Amino acid sequence: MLDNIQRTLRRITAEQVMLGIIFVLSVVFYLEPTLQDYPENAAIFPQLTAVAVLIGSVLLLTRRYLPGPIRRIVTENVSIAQQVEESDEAVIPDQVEDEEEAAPEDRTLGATYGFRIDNTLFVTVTATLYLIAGWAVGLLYVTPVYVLGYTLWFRVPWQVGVGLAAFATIVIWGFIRFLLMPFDEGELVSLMILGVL
Amino acid sequence: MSALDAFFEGLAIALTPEVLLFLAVGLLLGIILGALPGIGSPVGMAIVLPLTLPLDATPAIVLLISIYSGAMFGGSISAILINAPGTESAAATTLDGYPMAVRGLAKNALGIATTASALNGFLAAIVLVAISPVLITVVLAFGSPEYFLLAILGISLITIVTQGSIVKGLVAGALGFMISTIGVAIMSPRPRYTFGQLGLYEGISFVAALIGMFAFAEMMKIASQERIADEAVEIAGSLRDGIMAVFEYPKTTIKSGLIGMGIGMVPGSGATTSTFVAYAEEARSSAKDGHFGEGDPRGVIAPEGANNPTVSGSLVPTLSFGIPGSGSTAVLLGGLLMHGLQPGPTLFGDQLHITYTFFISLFLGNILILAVGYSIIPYLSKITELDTHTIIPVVVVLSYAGAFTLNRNWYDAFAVIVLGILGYYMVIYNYSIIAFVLGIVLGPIAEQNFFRSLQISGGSYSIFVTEPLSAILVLLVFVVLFGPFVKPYLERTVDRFG
Repeated sequence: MLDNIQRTLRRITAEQVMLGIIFVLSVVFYLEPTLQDYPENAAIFPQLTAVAVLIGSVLLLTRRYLPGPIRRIVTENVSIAQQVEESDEAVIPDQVEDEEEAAPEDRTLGATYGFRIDNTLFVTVTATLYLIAGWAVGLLYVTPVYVLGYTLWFRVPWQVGVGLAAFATIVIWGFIRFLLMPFDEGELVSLMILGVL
Repeated sequence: MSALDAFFEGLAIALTPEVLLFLAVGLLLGIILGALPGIGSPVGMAIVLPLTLPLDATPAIVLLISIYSGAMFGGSISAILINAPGTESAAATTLDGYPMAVRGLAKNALGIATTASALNGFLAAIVLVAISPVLITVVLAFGSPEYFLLAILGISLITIVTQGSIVKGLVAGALGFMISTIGVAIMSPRPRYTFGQLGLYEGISFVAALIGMFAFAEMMKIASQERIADEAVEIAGSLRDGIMAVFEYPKTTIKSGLIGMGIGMVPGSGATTSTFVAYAEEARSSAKDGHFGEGDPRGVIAPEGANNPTVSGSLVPTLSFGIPGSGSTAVLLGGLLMHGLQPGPTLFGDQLHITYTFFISLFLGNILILAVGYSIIPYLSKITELDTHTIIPVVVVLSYAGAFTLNRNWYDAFAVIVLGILGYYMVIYNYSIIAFVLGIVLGPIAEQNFFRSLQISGGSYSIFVTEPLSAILVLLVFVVLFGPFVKPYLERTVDRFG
């Protein structure tokens, strides 16, 4: 039983997860106006678009089980200039394979200590943490740390890293100085000062 | 104001030092960004877009248009030198440009790219000014139902032109429409899908969506790359011979320009399509004496002669109907709306002088491309030696700061990450991010026109098919969406009876 669940979970692709999230979103967008009693002129358009997204995501999620002609419309690539081309599904595994084959040698700081992480994942996680930290304590203070940390991880020469960190910090300072953005204030710190937290 | 008065007023604005400065800065920035594979014009424009907030509308849009135009030329630099197109539109240039560089003719190829791109861009800008009176008449014929249907047609066309599953494209476009409804409703003061969060009352900024979809997603994608070029590139050959080659093949040059402009005008198509069509046409018509794929100069003239006219052509649907043809024009449309310029009748009526300023700037920009292009060719290899990991953190910092600046709202900055991750997976699984972005940008316009139409008709949906123009648009949507599936059956039927 547990094995079956694990096997099923392993078979779930990132695309199916994405479509699942889109499906849930469309359900929320369809139901919310009814549940919250939106006026008609505020409800129709989002509900119509939600129905379109819902139907499309269900078709894409269940495409393997659809009858022939409908499956053809859902899965196959079309062009205004050309005829119907090969199925989309055939393309994706090749792409993934190509990406795996093309993966460059890991020369990051972590790799020298035996810690390996996918570069795309590293960029996404660090960028998210940078934004959360910037929101909490102020972008001005975390920007040099983020840029220096990032360049250090990817073994960019330290002089370049310091230069980039200085440049990025000056850019943020420019936003504060000329566009009056509160990047020297953190939301979390402000809440703590106000005694909310 | 007559069209002639508007033209001269536009000329006077285009020649002001401020506009000329932004034109030059934009072109330089565009050439550099365009030359960096993975960056290109949409990313560069998306990052610069929020920074234009303190500017007036005209210099801001001139800056964006010049980045777009500069990137078209810049994209060919890395295509020729390292066989990696800086922008998708330069992909066709690699076919003969890189073989020329390998044969020691890099300067010739770059000279051809600079001359063909600038010369045809220059000519296309003149054509654009010349046909604008006709555009005015066409634009004024459109009402609310037609504008709503145009938004639907635009998304349908993008689904087809960019190729891929039709359902995926439609889901992407409809999802964009759906996300655009977050925030206070257009037709009533009712907040929608805010779940009590004040920060969501203004909705998800479409500029933040553009930054996420183009800049952040692209950074995630190029993170797996190291240096842009692994080896130093030697730039050999003769620049003069390259320039002369363009004039040795005048038919190729002019034909490619016309193809570029014509395809650029089709809503939903872009320079990627036009450059390949121009290349294919040249390869077909010169099959007897051509050595395409082995470094034939005509193989560089054709795509490069088509790319910049596509910019001019794509301004037609973008400015007149608010239907962009590519990622870059989607960002440009975002810029127009952000600066309070509404595509459509106003831009061809009261604000015609502003429209002419854009066209004239495009014309002047192509002269500048020649001057800048020729002077920087010897130093171009430096661009390709950049490490991607020096670009990524700077783009991330600029993306967040820019997104927050739009409305002083942290939700916009967080939207960059969420939509960036979504964009990354959409690209991997072949969903059109342009359709999604178009949905977000056009959502409020489509909703407003949808309701206006229903108000006019007293709630009857028949208004979308009773007027001849709207009926034609509905028919076009059906043809675009179902045509490719019906076509084989029709052909078989014709064969059977023919």
